[in-house]
Amino acid sequence: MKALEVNNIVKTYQHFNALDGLSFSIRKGEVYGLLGPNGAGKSTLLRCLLTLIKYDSGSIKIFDKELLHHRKSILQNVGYLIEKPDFYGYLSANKNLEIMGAYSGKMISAKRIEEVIEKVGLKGREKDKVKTYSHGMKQRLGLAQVILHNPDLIILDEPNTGLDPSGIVDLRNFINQLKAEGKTVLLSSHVLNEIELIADSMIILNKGKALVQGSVQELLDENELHVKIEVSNLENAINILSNTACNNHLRTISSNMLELTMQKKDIAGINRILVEKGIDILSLNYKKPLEELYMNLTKTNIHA
Amino acid sequence: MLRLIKVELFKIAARPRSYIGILAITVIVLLIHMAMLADGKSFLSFIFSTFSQTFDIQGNILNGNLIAFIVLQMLVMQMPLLIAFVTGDIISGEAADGTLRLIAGRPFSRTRIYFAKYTASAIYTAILTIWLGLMALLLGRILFGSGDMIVLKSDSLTVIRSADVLWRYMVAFGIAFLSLLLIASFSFCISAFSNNSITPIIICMGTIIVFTIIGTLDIPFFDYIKPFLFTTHMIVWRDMFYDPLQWQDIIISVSIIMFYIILFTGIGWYHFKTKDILI
Amino acid sequence: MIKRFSFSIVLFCICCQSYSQDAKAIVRQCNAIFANIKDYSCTINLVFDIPGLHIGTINGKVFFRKPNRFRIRTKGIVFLPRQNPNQLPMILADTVNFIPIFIGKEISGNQPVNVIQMVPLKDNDVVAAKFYINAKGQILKAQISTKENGTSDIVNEFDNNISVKMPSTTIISFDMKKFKVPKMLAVDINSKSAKKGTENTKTTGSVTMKFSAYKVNQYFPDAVFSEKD
Repeated sequence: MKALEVNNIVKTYQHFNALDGLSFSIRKGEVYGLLGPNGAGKSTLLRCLLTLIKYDSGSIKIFDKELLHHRKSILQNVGYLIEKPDFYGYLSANKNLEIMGAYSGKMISAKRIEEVIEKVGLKGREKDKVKTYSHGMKQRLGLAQVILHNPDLIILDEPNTGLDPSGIVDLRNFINQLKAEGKTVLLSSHVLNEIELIADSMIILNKGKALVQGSVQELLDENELHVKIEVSNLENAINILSNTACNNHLRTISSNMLELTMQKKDIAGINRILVEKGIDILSLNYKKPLEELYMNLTKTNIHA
Repeated sequence: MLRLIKVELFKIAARPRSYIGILAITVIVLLIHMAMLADGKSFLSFIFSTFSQTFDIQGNILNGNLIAFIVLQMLVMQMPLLIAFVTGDIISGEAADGTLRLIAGRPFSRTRIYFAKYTASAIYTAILTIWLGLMALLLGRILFGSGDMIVLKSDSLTVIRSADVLWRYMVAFGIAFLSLLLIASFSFCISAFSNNSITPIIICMGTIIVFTIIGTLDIPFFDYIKPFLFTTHMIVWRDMFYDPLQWQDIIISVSIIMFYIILFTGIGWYHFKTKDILI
Repeated sequence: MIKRFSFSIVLFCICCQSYSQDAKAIVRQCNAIFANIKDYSCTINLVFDIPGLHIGTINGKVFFRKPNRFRIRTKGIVFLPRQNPNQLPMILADTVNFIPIFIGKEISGNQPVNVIQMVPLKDNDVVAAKFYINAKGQILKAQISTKENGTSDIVNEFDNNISVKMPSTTIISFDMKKFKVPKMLAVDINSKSAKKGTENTKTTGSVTMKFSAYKVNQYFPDAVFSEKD
């Protein structure tokens, strides 16, 4: 069963296509990564899924129900956190969750609120006004309101923003836990490493269109690693490497840097060969697979 | 729907700004009462100086009924501001704070959300009107007693017998509530278009000020416009103190007020229902 | 010529004296009605017909005690003309400050009346007072001019069924001065109905007082003149 099906969706703002015939689907129970540069249409897509924005044409089905015709029953089963976590700052976390519970269309008990507060690690601060919270705490509260009504589809838009390293790890664990519970998660992020680590499938958007989509494992082919090596003697290094299997995948970048295309497992061997032959390795690096893919597809600079 | 309305009322009650109106009314009315206690008689003798030359005026003129009327007259411009301060922020404030996107993606339709907020705004307006009534009339009667009410027109004076006063005030407050609900609807409508708290308040008050100025100008050209300005009809509550009552004028003005309420509410609803929530 | 002139002078003096004696007799007849009244109270019904003043009919009580204590007590606000209906008999009875002059006879309300002018002898607020008195000594009409309050007409009606010889109805008419109201207190400021209606062109107003249930010389405390309503 598909948790989400987007078919040929179009959204136009004046003369600009924010979404341009986009189609993709998400299987039930998987974590799906949504990637793309700024202005690619990620936020527009997420807002369309939540009816915050009306799309011009196409269709969206969530759990096999047409969104526009079954909006109420669908959204009762969707939890989301779009952009930064904003709440009623003049109210406590408890009160905010009570309000969110009322808006969820389901009866949410005080016990359930207590449960989610504990789950996201806000126990002890639930009676404090949200305006006194740090960003990380607000993010936790954001996640609390996402799962409060036990939805089956969870939409998260850049949940890592502003989190410290431990917060990022907690978030990763949180998403993994949701996955273990059988929830479907649609995760939009700029943190490619996180998508690589937790997503089952993904899509890369640009200018409202899908550039590539599919299983993360299938898309990230480690055979295509481009390794850049800075050496003390370029000519000698080239001569040495020309006698190896990498000969056909060698190119010079600058007066002391060359680039090899190889598998990751072969990097150590090449390094050893050069060092044994008296070539000093000044630096060696390669782009991560997803980053490589992303950069190739979008041709923009990003900061992971 | 009831649940949503309760939530909206809770949000209004939890915000400090909601009490500014109540506090302002309390302070202003108390100040007016204190001033009247201290200086009311000389204030009245100034007003009635022309009559005193011809008449010997007997009876308790400075009573709660007259004071209440003076209070209401003085608050004609302030009350709309106090209303718009809260109702103009109900949607736009949530948009500015980011909570609008938090609730608009929920199962409840935009129509339900809009009318739950609108109902809460109307209840707030009613509370403010009732508070004004209690402070102006009830407190006035406690401090100054009751009695016949003198109503001054620009060229005449009417004495309304005490038995005839209370029901007139009840109807006048009812009409005043509708007038303030018109302001609430107007500011609420603008709130649906705006993404910040200040714009609806400024537009609402600016419109009232401009319309009121046009209403006071004695330029023949403006006589064509005046009947269409809602501010012209908002003051019809005062007509409840005419003797004899001009029921036709009152009914026409109330109908126009209702029309504007429905118009502004409808425009705001339609925009809120169809707009893209981008913030 | 001189004889004729002298004769005319003598005739004039005789006439004056006879007129003066007539006026005094008429005034005495009027005063006799009030002579035995030390005080009285009665019920009053006030009807106002005053341009620019909209006041409904109101009931109250009247209290009078000689020589000049008079009060109308009502529940509610009343605008009473400064002219006191009891002023008429008081002027007639004031032989120190006023002298009566017989003016002539007229017909008023289908009754023949004697017209008496009370002329002030000293500087007085009342500058002129003209009375129209019938054969029974009842003041049917009067015109009083005062420095402060201008001229007012007072008309009395007598109900023959009332045992006391006091008027059953008194109508006081007076000139109205134009008055202005501070704009901020005007209920019709900026109102669309402010300019509606006919402009009031009347310049005189009247108050009709209907008296009933007279209680003459029946005790009531002095406090009624000073108590608050």
